[in-house]
Amino acid sequence: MSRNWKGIKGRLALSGLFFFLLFMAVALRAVQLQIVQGEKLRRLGERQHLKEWIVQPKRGTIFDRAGEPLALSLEAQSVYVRPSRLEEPKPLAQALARILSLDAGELEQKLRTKKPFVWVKRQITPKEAEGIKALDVDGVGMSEEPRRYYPQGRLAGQVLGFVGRDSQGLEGLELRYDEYLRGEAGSSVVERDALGRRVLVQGVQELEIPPGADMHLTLDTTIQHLAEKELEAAAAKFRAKAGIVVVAEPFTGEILALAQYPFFNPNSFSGQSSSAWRNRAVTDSFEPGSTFKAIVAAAALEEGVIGKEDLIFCEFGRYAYAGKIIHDTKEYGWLPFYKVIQYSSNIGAAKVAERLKKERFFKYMERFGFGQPTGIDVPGEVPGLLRGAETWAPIDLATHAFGQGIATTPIQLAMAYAAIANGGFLMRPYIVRRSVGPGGKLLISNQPHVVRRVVSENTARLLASILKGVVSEGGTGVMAGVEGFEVAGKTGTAQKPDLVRGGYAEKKRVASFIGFVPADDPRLVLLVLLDEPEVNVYGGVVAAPVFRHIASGALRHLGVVPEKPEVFFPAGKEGLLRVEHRIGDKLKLTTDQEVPDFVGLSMRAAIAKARASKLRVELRGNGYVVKQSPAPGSAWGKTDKLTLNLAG
Amino acid sequence: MRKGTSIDGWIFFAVAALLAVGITMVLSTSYLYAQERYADATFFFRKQITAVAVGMAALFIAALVPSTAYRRFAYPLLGIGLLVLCLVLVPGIGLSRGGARRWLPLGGFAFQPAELAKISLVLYLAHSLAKKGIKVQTFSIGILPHLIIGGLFLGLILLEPDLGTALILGLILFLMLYVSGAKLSHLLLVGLLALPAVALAVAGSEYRLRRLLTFLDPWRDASTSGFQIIQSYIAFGSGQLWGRGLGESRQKLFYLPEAHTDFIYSVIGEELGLLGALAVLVLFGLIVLRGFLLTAKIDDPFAQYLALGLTSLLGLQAIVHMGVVIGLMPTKGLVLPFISYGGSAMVMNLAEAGMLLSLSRRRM
Repeated sequence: MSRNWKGIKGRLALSGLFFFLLFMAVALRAVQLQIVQGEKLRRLGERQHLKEWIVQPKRGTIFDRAGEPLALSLEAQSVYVRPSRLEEPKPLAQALARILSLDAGELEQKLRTKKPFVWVKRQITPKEAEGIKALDVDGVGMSEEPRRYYPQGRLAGQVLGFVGRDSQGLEGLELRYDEYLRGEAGSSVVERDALGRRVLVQGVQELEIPPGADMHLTLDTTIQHLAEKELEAAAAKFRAKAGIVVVAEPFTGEILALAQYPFFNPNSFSGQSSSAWRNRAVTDSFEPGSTFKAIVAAAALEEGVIGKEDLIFCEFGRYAYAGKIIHDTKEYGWLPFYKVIQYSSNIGAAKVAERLKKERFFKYMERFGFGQPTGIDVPGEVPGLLRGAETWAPIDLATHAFGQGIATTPIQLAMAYAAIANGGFLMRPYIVRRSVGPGGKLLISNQPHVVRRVVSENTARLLASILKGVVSEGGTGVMAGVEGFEVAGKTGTAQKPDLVRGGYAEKKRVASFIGFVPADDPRLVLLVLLDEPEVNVYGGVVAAPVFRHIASGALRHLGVVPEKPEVFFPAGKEGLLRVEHRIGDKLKLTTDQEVPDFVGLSMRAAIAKARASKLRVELRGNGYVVKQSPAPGSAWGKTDKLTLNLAG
Repeated sequence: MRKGTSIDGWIFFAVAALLAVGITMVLSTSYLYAQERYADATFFFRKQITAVAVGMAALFIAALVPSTAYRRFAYPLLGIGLLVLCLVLVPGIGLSRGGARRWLPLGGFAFQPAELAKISLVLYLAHSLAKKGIKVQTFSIGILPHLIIGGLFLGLILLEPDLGTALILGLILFLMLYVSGAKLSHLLLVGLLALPAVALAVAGSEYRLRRLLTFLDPWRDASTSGFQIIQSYIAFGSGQLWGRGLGESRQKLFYLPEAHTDFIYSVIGEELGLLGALAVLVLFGLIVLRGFLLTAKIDDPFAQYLALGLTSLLGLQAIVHMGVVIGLMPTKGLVLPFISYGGSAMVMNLAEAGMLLSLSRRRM
């Protein structure tokens, strides 16, 4: 073995020096980076690490007036998978697809990726979550996300509205009071990783965000439910396209129920069109028709241009005015003013408006709140259509008197009637009583708000007594009568403007009834509107019974004691009213049956009996049945209709 | 020949201290990454513990084996080294990760042939240069065979590609030839001849060229190619004097790529500050210093060259890793011996330390 080369020590020393220099270079560079540039680099790092982290609070709950929750936020589970941890995706995809009702093939594709994390399904139901939990497969997990839930389903769906995926209010009260329900988002500066996710650093407290404010509504779930049930039944019975019911307290303007058919379930808003979730009681306006006669009556009484008993000549059903002919459904001669309203004479109403003149008439329309939003606290309210008096054509004075050529929202009309009911005050309607923030702090407290006095108390009283006549024997709204209570109200059967051809559509009608009960001490003002009913179009037939059913149920619910045991009082003998009642969709008449006996029955009893036997009856006059055709006990002839003559 | 009474305590202490730092830092750097990727926070940590245990066994065995026995392994290991370097390049045998074919599957583990190749080459060079003796000054006998064998290793490693390891082996080849007495003119000639090859290797590959340009001015492309090195600066620099504290690194939250392997020294700088970074540097310096002192003391040429080779191997790997993360060298993924996560490197580096300790036992 050869000996070492002699110069090795020197070269070793030089090699050592080489290493020493390298180590020194590293040390100096370390000092430069950490001491000289340390502060700068640290700040540079903070720019990418620190981020303002915004935490959304739990959305507030919406309660009805009794504290029943109508909308609340729950934590819903969302399922994710970590594909990198799966051994064989296929059986898992099939199992997950079965539990979550997804497409297995599609899911398998998703799970075959190399991604560390994929969402499988967001916001699953508790039942699905149980299935996932039971599956217990490594790599499958769930995380909680908030979900808005409407426990009453479709109840008051259009009023409540709905929220988007990030719990932001999109419609209805959810939108209108979003800033309260949402609450104050909290924020803190947090560390985040390179993927932008938040990092929990030890010693930093988890941000505690107070929840959003709760909303307490004026809605009464029982009345709302009743209104929806009756509305649906009537819409189905008369094959109406749509329907609206407004129930309010006349003295406060609080909305007790706001029902709209077809219904809308905010739990599954996607897949339903905007017309279903729009709150049409405030967003849509209609020609009011005869219900508007109460407005002209109020104006005329207040201005003293007419008295309750003053006679008006009704031209026997044909009145040439401003180059047009105004018709009545019946040929009336001289009628006292209250009967003009009771029988709903267009000619009579037009003549009253003539006495009033257009400026004064217009003034009262405005004072009753038409042409302006009521200020109700739901989004999307429209002012309706009220043209200035100076733009009216001569005929407008007459047609406005029976509710043509203007457009009002159901809520406007309901509040106008509420003013008549409460002694002359136009109230601002509201649906949120109060909002209570975290810690019980009162954020909103809506109190009854008088917009203005519209007519004097005397006028209101007088008009109420006239409107009572509408719901008594001989009136158009007799079917709105509530057992044990006096009802004041008015029917309406409005033609619908033909939007395509102009003028009015041949068969399309809006049938309505608006009234308040008990008439002398009103607890409820109630509007019923059915859009384009097919089976029958008259407000007195289509809408009035809905009023009766809702009002009687609501009064019972509110514990209002019936004021009078007698339902009917004899009305005047004059006049002839024909009301066609078609009860039930199908007539079950067989010729071998005998004609039942109706003689001696009161009108109400006669109607009830006809309903029970599913008969089609024609009523003539008021009071008690004095004569019937065909006669009792005889056989049915060619006719399928029973004609009853009544007399007081 | 008489046996020394004990091993070099300084080297053993330095290795043990670095292992302690390493195990801690691997846990710190891989915890969240493993949680994210495998939902198992100690995934890398547990594998690393296993590697350290196997590596410590290798260290003790290597330290107990008399250093003279190593000479017998020189040629067999050379053959095995070349064989595995060839095997790893065969598609279907070598495992490819991130565009590089650097791993061989070995009973459930991924083994890096380059790690074996390092010790094979060092052992071969020590043996061959000792055998050549004074003839190392003759180009054809002293230089050429080593250039051919070394070139073969370098070439195969460059094919993986693994430029960092190739660079380290090239430097060791050069250093061992230099210390063993090769003529400066020969070395200069080799250097000049290697220059075009290096230039070609760098410029011929776009990513290497970009890496070089990035190295020269990382801030120019801070969001793209300069991203890694700037993230490393931010990590290292923001540790300042005292560091953020153990486990408190922000940059390991996926800002730094491979925080538990190629950029672990950045996190050491961030969490333990200048003091921690310098402590690690001093521990490696201690190994190199003791290695050189040992080399100078040994008379037996093979043992002496082996000691030099092993010291250089450990020292250069550490220097290149640290130099890369603090921007003194173009970025290249190299692990920090005894510290970074990685089984093959841990076991081989500990075995190399064991051999160095074995050499320290003999006094002639």
